[in-house]
Amino acid sequence: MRIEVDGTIFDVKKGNLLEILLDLGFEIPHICYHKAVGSYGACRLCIVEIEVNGEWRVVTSCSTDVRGGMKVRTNSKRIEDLRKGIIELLAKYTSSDLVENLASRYGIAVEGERRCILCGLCVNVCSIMGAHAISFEGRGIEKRVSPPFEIETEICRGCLACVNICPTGAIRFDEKGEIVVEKLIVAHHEMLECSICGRFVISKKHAESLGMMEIICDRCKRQIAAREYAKSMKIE
Amino acid sequence: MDLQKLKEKGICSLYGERITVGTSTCGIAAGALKVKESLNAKGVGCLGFCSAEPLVSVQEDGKAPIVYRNVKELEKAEILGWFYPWEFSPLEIDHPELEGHHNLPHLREHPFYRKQVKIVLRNCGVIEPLSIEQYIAMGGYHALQKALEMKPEEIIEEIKKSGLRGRGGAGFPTGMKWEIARKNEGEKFVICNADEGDPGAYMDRSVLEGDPFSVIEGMTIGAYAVGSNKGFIYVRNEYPLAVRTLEEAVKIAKDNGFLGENIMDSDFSFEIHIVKGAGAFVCGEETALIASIEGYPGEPRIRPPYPAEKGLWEKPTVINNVETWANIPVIILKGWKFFASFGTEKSKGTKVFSVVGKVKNTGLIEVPMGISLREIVLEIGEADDVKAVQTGGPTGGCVPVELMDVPVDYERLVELGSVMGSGGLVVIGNDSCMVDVAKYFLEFTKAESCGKCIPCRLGLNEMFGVILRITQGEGSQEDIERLEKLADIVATASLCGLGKTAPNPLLTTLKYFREEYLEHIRGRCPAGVCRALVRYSILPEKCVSCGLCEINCPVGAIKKTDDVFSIDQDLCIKCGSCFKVCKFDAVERI
Ligand SMILES: Cc1cc2nc3c(=O)[nH]c(=O)nc-3n(C[C@H](O)[C@H](O)[C@H](O)COP(=O)(O)O)c2cc1C
Ligand code: SF4
Ligand code: SF4
Ligand code: FES
Repeated sequence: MRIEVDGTIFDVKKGNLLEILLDLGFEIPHICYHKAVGSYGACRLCIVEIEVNGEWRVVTSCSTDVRGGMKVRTNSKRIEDLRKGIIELLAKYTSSDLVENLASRYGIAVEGERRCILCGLCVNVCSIMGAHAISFEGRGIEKRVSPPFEIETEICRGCLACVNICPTGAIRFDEKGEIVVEKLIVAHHEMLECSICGRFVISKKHAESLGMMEIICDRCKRQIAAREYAKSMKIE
Repeated sequence: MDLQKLKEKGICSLYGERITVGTSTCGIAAGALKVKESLNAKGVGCLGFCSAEPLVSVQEDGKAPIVYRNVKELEKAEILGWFYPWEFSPLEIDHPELEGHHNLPHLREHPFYRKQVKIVLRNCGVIEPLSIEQYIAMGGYHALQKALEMKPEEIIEEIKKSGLRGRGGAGFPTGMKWEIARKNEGEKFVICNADEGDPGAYMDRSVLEGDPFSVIEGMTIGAYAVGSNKGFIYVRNEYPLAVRTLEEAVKIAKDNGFLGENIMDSDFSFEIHIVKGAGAFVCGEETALIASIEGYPGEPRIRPPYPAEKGLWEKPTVINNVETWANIPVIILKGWKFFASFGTEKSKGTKVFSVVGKVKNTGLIEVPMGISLREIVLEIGEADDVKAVQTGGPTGGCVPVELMDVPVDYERLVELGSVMGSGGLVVIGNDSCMVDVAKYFLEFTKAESCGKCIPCRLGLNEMFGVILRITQGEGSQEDIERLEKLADIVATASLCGLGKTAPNPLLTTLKYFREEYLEHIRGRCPAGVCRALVRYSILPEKCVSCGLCEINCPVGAIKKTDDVFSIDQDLCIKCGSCFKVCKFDAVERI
């Protein structure tokens, strides 16, 4: 089907408007959308204007499906003003490399205290993993990511999906096996060592849930694979 | 199940000798339970006139009931008026001859009732809420009987033609919503939204407490029309009486064959479950409500897909407000033309409002759409000091007194920056400060924001900070521009209706009462409400040294020196006691 974006016509396939715009090379800031998680609608940065019955309407592109003949504006003054306004709010209340990066485009100073922007990625990915170890507590400005009742939880398997997906570094993991969001401890894990090099690689719970027999870290795995390959090629 | 038999029983108990007392939550708060006990009376729902409660009706054999107002002891109580029990109901009802009291005032002659048209509240205050016989005697369950003989598509057509729009706030055409759900395949659900979180609004509570079967019958018809066998009523946990009444009513309906398997001997089956709400204002938003029933936190979700396509457990779901459901039986029984004969071109039927604030007659009223705010406030409410009317609950707007001729109509209210909302109507007097009013609502919405999306969570908090500054006398001209800019971001970019409408009170007060904001910036609160901007002092030329102010000042800030009184500004807490007690206007407020 054909759509018009910022005055240019494109031939596109069915699908999610944000993804299509990104594929076409448009720069659309977006934080809470993730292919694996789907659209959540929290950050509102992916807004664009689409034409509906002759009127331009502001919508989040991550929650919009493309339709044939759709007309889209990604960088109108209206959109830029709104986006800037949202980023100003983010910069006043939070700070992280991600927000620094967004704010620098508009020359906005970042002065917030917390890192977490409540994009929901960690909570949603934890739920996809089936663990439900973290969720949101509180409302409004008090809302925060937290394990149940704000106490260290046993439900967490230590898969680290949340840590890996978090765009701001608000949720972290350290060598001691602690997962921490802002200043709150989510869980404490016993870590297993790589049977070859001895570095900590994976939480015991996660290894067990995956039914892993032997713990080998990625680096050692790669070395083994390389050696096997060399052997099979008879390169000594 | 024999409708006729139940009806006869209902007629007997409705029209015999009977004393009733309005014992809904509002009546109980006015002391109705004590009155009920002392009179050995039956409890009924609310007749709407809350400032006249406890309301007692006395019906002697063969005679129409007489309603007494503000009853403590019946002998000393004032008569409000008499009426025929069936006369508020639009349904044609078989009833015995009752003798009127033509020497006494009729209820309809009272300004509070004169312009009301009761479709939703047809039975409230008349029948005993849990008497299914009386409900049937008033025409109840005749609509379901008729509907079960119609094709589902015919029912939907009837609702569409009636022009009924959702009464929960957004005003979406009910028939269209049903049609979308009807066209979707598979298991479906219907939900009654009884979360009613607006402070000061209690339309839905009154219907649930006073006439639960009207909602249940409406839902049953809706379920049959869209092809659903399972419904939920999501009701606020803070409404214990409504919860209990509903639980009982569902059981009674089931025992009598109006719910459960093979309803009214047809092959249609439908059951209703009561779900108690989680307590947050935002849980009334339809997608948050659905999330809450599913056991997730009450957080709004992205739409589309709309619930009618993918709702509860991703199944097509029709969610309607209590008042919307209660309209359904009347439309089916009386036909769409009857319903559409009330109202304006695009807003049909009636609307229930809870009228509170600076009015003489507070209470619940049901008026035809198209009536003006002026008639509601001045004639029904008998208000005599009005500055503005706030419609639409905490996210509605303030309409100034000059524009009160606007008719009650979804689109017209939006044009003025307000909304119909669910029906809260607050009358604001000249002693109120509009900046303070806007601050109050922002404080509410910022606390009730679920916090999911950035504009609403952070934007409302910012807006509140700015308006607080203005009321404390620290505002500037730039603050007003900042407020307008933030309001635009929150209203345009927020995810759900809460954020999208939360700036309304601010925007309308800025639009119609801008001068008050500017006065605050200049350091004065014209209404004398914002304490930081108020200063009390004693005018020596008027002071007669009676000392009344000194006695009444709670902090001892008033002292006598050289025979005149003066106020120590450092001690003064600006409570205004001196201002109120001085009989010589010698205390000045600036
Ligand atoms: C913040 C918020 C709160 C709401 N609260 C209620 C409520 O308490 N009761 C209600 O019926 N609708 C409420 N709504 C509207 C619902 O989302 C929905 O539109 C309504 O239940 C649909 O029913 P209707 O078409 O019969 O009005 C609320 C909407 C928002 C955005
Ligand atoms: S911790 Fe990270 S991933 Fe989770 S909500 Fe906050 S910013 Fe998003
Ligand atoms: S607009 Fe407010 S209440 Fe609605 S989803 Fe966003 S934060 Fe939550
Ligand atoms: S990416 Fe669309 S709302 Fe966050």
